[in-house]
Amino acid sequence: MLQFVIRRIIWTIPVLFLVTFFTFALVRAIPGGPFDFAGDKSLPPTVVKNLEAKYHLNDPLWQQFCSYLIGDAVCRPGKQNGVASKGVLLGDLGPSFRYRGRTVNDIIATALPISAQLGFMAVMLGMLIGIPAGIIAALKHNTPIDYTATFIAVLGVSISNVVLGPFLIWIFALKLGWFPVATWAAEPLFSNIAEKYIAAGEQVPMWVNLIPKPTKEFFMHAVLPVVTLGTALSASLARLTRGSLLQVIREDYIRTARAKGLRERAVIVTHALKNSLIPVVTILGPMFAGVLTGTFVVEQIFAIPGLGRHFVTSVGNRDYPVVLGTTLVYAVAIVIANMLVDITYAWLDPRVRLE
Amino acid sequence: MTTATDTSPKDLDLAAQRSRSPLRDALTQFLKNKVALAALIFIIIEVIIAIPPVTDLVAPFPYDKTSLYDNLAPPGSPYTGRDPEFQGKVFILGADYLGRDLLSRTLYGAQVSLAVGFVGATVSLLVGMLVGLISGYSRPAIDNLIMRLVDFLYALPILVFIILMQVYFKAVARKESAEGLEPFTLPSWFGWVMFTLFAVALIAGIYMARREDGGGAQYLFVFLAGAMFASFLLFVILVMRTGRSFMASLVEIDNAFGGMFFLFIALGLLNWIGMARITRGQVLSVKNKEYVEAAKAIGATDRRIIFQHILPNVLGPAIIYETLAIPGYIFTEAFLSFIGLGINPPRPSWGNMISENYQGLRAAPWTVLVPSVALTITVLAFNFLGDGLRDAFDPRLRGE
Amino acid sequence: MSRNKWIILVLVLALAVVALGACGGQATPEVVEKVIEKTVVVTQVVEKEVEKTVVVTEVVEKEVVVTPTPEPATKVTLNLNLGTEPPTLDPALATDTTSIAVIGGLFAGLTWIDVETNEPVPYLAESWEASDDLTEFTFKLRQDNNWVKYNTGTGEIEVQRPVTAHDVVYGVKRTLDPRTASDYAYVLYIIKGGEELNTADLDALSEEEVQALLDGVGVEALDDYTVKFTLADPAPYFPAIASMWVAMPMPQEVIEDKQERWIEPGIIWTNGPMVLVEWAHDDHLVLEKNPNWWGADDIQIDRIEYVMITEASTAFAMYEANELDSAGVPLDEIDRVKSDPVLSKEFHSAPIPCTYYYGFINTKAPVDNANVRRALSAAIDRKGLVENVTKGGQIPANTFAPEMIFGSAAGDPDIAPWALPEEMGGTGYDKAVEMAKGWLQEAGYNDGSELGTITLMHNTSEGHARIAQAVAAMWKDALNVDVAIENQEWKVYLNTIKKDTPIEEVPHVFRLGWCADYPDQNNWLNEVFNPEIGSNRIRWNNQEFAELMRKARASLDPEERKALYKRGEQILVDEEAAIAPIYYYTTVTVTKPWVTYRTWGTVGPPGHHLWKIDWEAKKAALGLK
Repeated sequence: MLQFVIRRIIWTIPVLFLVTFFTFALVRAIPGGPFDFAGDKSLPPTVVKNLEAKYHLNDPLWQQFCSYLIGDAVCRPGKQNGVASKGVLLGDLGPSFRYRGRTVNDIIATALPISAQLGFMAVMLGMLIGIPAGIIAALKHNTPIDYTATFIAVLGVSISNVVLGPFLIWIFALKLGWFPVATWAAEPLFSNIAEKYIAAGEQVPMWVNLIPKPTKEFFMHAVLPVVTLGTALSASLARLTRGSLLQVIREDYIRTARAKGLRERAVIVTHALKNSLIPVVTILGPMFAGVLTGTFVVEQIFAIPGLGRHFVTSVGNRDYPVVLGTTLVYAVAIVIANMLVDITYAWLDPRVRLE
Repeated sequence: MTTATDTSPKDLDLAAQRSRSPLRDALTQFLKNKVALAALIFIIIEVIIAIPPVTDLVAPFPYDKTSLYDNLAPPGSPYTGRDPEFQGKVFILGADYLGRDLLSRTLYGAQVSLAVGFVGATVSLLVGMLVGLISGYSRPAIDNLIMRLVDFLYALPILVFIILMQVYFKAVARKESAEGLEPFTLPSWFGWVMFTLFAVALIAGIYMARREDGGGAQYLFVFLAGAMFASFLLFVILVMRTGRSFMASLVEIDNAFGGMFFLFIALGLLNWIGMARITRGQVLSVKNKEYVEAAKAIGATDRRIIFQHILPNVLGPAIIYETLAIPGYIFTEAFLSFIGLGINPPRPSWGNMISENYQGLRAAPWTVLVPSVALTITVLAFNFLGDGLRDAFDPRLRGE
Repeated sequence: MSRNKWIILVLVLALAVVALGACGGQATPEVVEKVIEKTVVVTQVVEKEVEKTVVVTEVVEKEVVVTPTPEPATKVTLNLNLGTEPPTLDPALATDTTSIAVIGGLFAGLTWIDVETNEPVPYLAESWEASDDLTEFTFKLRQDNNWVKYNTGTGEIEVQRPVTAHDVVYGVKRTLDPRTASDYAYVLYIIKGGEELNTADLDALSEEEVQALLDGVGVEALDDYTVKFTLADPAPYFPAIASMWVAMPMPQEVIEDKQERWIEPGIIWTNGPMVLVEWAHDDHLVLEKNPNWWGADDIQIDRIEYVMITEASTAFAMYEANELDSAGVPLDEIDRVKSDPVLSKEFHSAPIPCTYYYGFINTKAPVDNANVRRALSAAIDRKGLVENVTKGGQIPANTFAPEMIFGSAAGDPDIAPWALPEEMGGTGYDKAVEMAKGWLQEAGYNDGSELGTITLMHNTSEGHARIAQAVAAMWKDALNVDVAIENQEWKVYLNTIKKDTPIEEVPHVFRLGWCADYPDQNNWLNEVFNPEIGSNRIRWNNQEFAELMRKARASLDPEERKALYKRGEQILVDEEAAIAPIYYYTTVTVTKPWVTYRTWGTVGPPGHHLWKIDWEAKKAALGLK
């Protein structure tokens, strides 16, 4: 097990390197640079030159990539001008080109925790509703209950979040007034630590932002976005659980277990369910990774200051370091999630060996 | 409960299976499932309506007929524009922000959205399952390599990719039209060649699949893929003979697909990854089961084991995953078209109708509801159909 | 394996505990509410004190100490939506309206573009005088303006030191210094030596040479409160440029100490009517009144709470829930708002100095023919478009520059009367279509379909897509022209329509908008369409137009300039029809009835701090005591 984890972590290095390399190359292949226009006004070349010098965009590409990876000290020795970078290897993701004065590290430290809070609650909701619903539907196979469950699940995936979000706002925030319309209200649990950083005018570190204070305010703001995001998740989980449970229920060993006279519930929970969760866990991995690192639509509609919007806007702004930084965050999340999925396989089904 | 006993060491039970065609069994089983049957009929009707000449016949308005002063007309309003051709017609399901008939747009939207759903699902199933099967069944070293590649593809920023595709292909297309080359027209025999190719592939594939002596389904795969590749090659040769570049021939294909070819490529790139992971996970769990071990023990080939024993176990989750992914494809199409890759307005698709109207949810709810309902019903039909197919093909469920 | 099971089980349990703990947290609201009540009592006292002791600033500062965590409900608070995160609050670096809206509250420049008249008025400068040839401007600064800083630890507003002419000199030179890499530095090229400094390659120069360049910039402090600018060319509009963010005073000691982080709350020094209290990136930004500001008596708003909501329908929903005092109306909601008995009274559309236009690539066949271009332009039903598609009370445009701009000829039926509806003195659409058909025939086309497919391109956006589809339908219906609509992502798009893109890759027609940097035609006709200096996306080479622009720029006689610009518009829009202006923008907003004064569509910063609200009414509506 430990060996497996270590080997997987070593494998992470080439994956992340390739992701960085290709993203670096692709994003620079798109027409338009970060500074050729301000709004729709094209800037004079002289001004563009100054900006490019400041952010080292006039260095050769290989040198920029080198600087990005291992820092200016190694890759552009002797040149002191502009914004210095320590390199990704030392944890410096560079400056944002768009948000002048903020670094990519700052942006991620502020935005990622919020996306993670939202995403975590949404996946939890999805699992809490989806998996039991799937089990019930499978046990009541081809009955009205099953059809109803399918219908609701399909509704859940077919209604776009751009429709569901505003609809929930309309009904529950405006008509009924139960919840606030939008925004996020997370205060760090360790607010005294956060205040110290704020008073000093410094960036609050990510881990402080990560854990929210469980206030009423926080949960009231969270309900609508979590439900919006969780609906589609729970729908897919329900359908997959149902399908694969149906398949497992017919297997011999389940019949054996039943034949042994085990109670139906015990059969389902201890034997069938565990075995049937493999497809569910498979999609849960990337789902977690995707949702925890931010979802553009829900964050946009509910004005949640998460990382999701940066994935999209940074491309539009040609904010290369932010594109690379967010991509790296997502890559790390995917790699970890898929590793956990593989570990879970071995737990769910002892015949799957970790190799 | 005739099948109750033959499930365990199925491969040892070949004689019993050969006595009845599994396809016929499945068909009988499927016909008993009323809900699935209804779903199938619905989908067939929908596909027929989506055939362009039929749509022209059924839809009361052309999809791009604007009538500015009828913008956001509620359902049942009469047409008030000046065009004599449409005098007296009624917007049965209302009109959108440019006064275009929603019913007609939804009907025309089915053309794009169904095509996208089918293509997305097919590409994802074919490529994703193939990769997943290979990965899951291979030695751990190869499995690891493939899965790390999948991790890599997961992480690449898709938006960047799509913008690049959009820039490159569309620029070629514009160049093409500006160079004043004669517009490319397909020779009429091309359609027949393609039809024959596919028909032969299909018939040969089914014939091979009928044979019970070892996983015939693969031939269907291979033949169909071969037919697709051959017609593609033929097309490219035809286009390049008129003095165009390879890229230009892709652009011509795009035109032939009504601007959707690049969209399909993008969808294909995007969507097989999850399927590959699902398949692989299932393979990992199935490949060590008793009956697979048993098959190995009696010396069955890898190919036979994969297609005969593992594939059926993978198919269930794969179909469910796929039917659920269809709305995703339809929304992805809307997004891709929105950023300029894919169909150009005013051509409608359900996805773009929803995303361009969603802000009117409160002011003119019908503009959102009509395409949403069309989408939901279709996806529902696909899900019931998928469930029915899965049940029909699962020998262990028979006789219930 | 079993150990692994335990690890996972523990993990799952831990998650469950977090989730449960989260749910259990709902038991505490009572405590929270009590805390709120207590602070309410404290701050009510504060408010009374404020009323009594308005002038004496020291006391005000002490009061702020009383409430280390300011309670929104007790201060006269304005809630607005900024739309997005401001990319920067550094006056030297700002380029976008969001940043400028906030900077306009935080900093005070030499002049201020009056929110009513759109003319530059004295601000940090009490007065100024220009030399007769308009190349030297001397500004006299107020002596009662101080740098202040908000202390995020204590909540106090601390006075640092007076703002002097040296801060202005530093600010201008900092903007022009190539190491600052300011996007808008080019605006200050009008100052003598500005361009030389900004375009120098400092790495290749010795320190003395760099110093010489810095000293060579035509801005100097004659004494602590007098600053003199020497210009490279005569510029009658210089007082307007002096209002711009890039020419604002900047606090040298903080900037040099904290570098790029100097704009964070708790660090930043500002000299404007408001101070920066809180900036939660991508979420909200809070300004509070600067009690040390010279005009503090006239400012009623104690606190502005900005949220950053991109989604228009969400911002509108927050407005309906009384969480915002004003909001933009999403396009699809306009009909509903107009017919709603309450919302229709709160609805207003106000012109802003921006124009929406379609540009023709003047060298690309068939739109290389002026008659074809004019026919296409005339076949756009501008009135139908603004009434049925954009719906925000936009004004049909027959010129490039809108009314608020000096030298504009907007609505003058001498220019392109076919673009105007009858009630505005034009020909109306039906006649325009007849004329358009005639022009097409003159160009040798009996029917629009003979033109081939016209490619119309816009940047990716729902609103532009609608307009493009409507216009395409108009061209089809009126002239039988086939149109292909394409769209591209914004920066790709701007690259596509550049003047040096190969002609076969550009569309025939593209859409763009233009907004004023300063209210003068020079910023419009000359900077955008002069084929010799502008980006010339329309690829024309009209020497008469270039000559007109040159003359207008050099002329010191306002009436002569107006006449020259009018002639320029006539060539651009009517005779050559190089562009098809479509409408002048409006801002379509709803404002709560308790907002008793607000600003509309300004050329400079919007001046949110100047707004006035009936605080009692707002409190009642929000259910506050």
